[in-house]
Amino acid sequence: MKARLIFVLLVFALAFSSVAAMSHDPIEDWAAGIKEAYGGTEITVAVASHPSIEAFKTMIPRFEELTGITVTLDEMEEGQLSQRRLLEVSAESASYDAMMIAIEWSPQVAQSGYAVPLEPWIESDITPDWFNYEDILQAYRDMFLWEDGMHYGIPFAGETVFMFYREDLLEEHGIAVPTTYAEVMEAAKYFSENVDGVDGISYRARLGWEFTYMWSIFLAPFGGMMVDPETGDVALDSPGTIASLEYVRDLWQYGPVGVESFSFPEAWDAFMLGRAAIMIEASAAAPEVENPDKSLVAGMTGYSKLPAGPAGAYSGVWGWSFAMMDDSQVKEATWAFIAYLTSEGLQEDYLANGGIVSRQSALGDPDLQAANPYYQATLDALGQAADLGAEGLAVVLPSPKWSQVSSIMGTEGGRAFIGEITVEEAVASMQAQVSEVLAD
Amino acid sequence: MTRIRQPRRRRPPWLVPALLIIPAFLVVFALAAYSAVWLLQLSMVKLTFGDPFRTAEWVGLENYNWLLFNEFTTFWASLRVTAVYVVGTLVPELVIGFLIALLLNRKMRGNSVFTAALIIPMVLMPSMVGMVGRLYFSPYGLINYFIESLTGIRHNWYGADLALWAAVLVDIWEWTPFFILILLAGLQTLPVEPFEAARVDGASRLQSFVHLTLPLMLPLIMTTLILRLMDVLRLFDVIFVMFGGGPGTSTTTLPLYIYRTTLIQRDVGRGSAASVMLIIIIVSLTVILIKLRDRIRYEA
Repeated sequence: MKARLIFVLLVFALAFSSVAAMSHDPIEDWAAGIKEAYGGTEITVAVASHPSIEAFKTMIPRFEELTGITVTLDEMEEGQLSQRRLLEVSAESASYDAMMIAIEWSPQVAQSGYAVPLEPWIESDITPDWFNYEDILQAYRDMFLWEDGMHYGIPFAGETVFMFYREDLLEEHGIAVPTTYAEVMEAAKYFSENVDGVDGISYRARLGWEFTYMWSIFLAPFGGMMVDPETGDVALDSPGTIASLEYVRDLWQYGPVGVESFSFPEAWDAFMLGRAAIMIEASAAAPEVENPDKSLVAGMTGYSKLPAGPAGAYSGVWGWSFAMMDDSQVKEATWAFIAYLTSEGLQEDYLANGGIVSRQSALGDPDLQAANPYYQATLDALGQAADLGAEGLAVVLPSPKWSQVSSIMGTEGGRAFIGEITVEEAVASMQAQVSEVLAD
Repeated sequence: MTRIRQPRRRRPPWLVPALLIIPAFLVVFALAAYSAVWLLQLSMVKLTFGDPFRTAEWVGLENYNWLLFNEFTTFWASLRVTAVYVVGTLVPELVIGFLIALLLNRKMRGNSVFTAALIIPMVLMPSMVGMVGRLYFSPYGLINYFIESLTGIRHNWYGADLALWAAVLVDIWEWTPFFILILLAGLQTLPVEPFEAARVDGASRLQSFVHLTLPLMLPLIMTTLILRLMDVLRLFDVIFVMFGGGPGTSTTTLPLYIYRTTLIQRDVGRGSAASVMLIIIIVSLTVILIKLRDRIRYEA
């Protein structure tokens, strides 16, 4: 009887303690404070269509419920968002409280004063303990670092480039996973010429920024560069740059028919439909490749860091962040919104809803690594991106004029890619035009 | 004493119409003139899109000089692509459109349903048309599927040789109905008497078509061509979505060139100079065609 009484008391005590613990949920505690101070505020955020935004959309109702802050998302296509930003920077006024900013836009929003530096906000009382800024990979954090030593965006969707390969095909044909670009060329040639219905390689090569995106990955491994880090001079006509463009052009013949017009979805599709043995593409493709509803090669794909060229093995980083506008009248509520959605505390929800990973804690988690076979390749490629940074190089020039530079490289490079002009003519044109742009 | 009533002065007949037209004319003229002057001014400055206008630097005709004579300019290439696109779309659209209009002008069952169905491609969003075109012409798309089934050959519509023609075919699909509808309306309003007289005189169908239908329809054909020409020269969305101007410069029409120069390379001056040249081309061709139409009408 006595034992039964003790058991009942214990059950009550346990239930009580768990109820008490529930009422002390750190997220709810933080939100209660925010609600008291900023409840009833309305914020407007400009975003581009992106898998991470879809994840945020599922998380925002709870944020609104907990904090009393109303969020309006103005969602548009990426190009439209870029033009909206340009127009607002040009007009020197912002109609949003926060904006989704890509790495290449960061220098302009920082230099113009359109966005605010975020260090004071990261260190403010509004930032919850479970935000953990340091847990965001440094390579991603530093994408939004400006010359003044301040960061102008909180990254939520980092992206790097690595190599995807068909494990089953390579094994069947006795080909080792390529570790150099020369081996990539050989393997691509082999599959193209010997295996019906399978091309050697897939990648994006559509004229413009997509060509620049792809080509920029091949620059440093062949000794090429956009700007010499030592002299600051444009170096697009260097022998390494020419060699990298020639390599990309030569690799083309082993790609699927029409690869010269492939945007990234088509490059991904070619691989996911089993029509390419190797793909050099963005890490963002990996979740799609592993999704059996969309991909015929889910579970058959291996991932590795990028191969080495004659001058070394390098990758790069790209990504998206939230920036806060200087003109915002409700910065406290806006920062609460950014900190909540991009926090470590909410990372599980974010990833479960299809958000793109950008935190060390997730990429290093053994369970998540087992569930996502590309996490290790992501970490390795980020290491290669750090190596690129250590050389003073980057796949995106940290300059407000990057969009001009990227467009010139993408147009002239794309023309050389299909043989409309020679590689030498292309680099001469790039060198002259980019020098003019950067000199202004 | 009788007062002689002065007759009321008659208002000139043009006065009321003029008064009614003036407000609209002023608004349209002011907007057009303001935009034209502003564009002309922009074409003579060096300005980066995104920077405040106060940073603009006057460079005179330098932007025109660069576009026309610089060794790295692709302006001429885009002009050539535009010319091919204009001729490649307008000629087949006119011929096919006229033939179908002649067919629909006969009393047949289901004409009204067919005519209504023709409108569908025209009312679709251009970006959607571009997306559908991109999918149809993809290496593994529907068009290649049929061609490969019939001939065993798979064409690379995404390549530099055929990309522009893929865009031309999509344009023909989208805009031939425009010619059909307008020319059909014209055919239905042709006077019956000349055709009856010709028949009595023993003219064959072909003779009636060559000597009556065609001359009577020519002014309307010219008007339709003028409208489409202005539209085709400004076309952007479909080609942009399908190929973005590539591969190389194979689909970079003048509007795409202007877009890339102004909004992507952010060179407002050169982009505006190219826009001015596009306007000059459109106005010149339109004036030539209007004069030609008026001469045809006069001779008819």
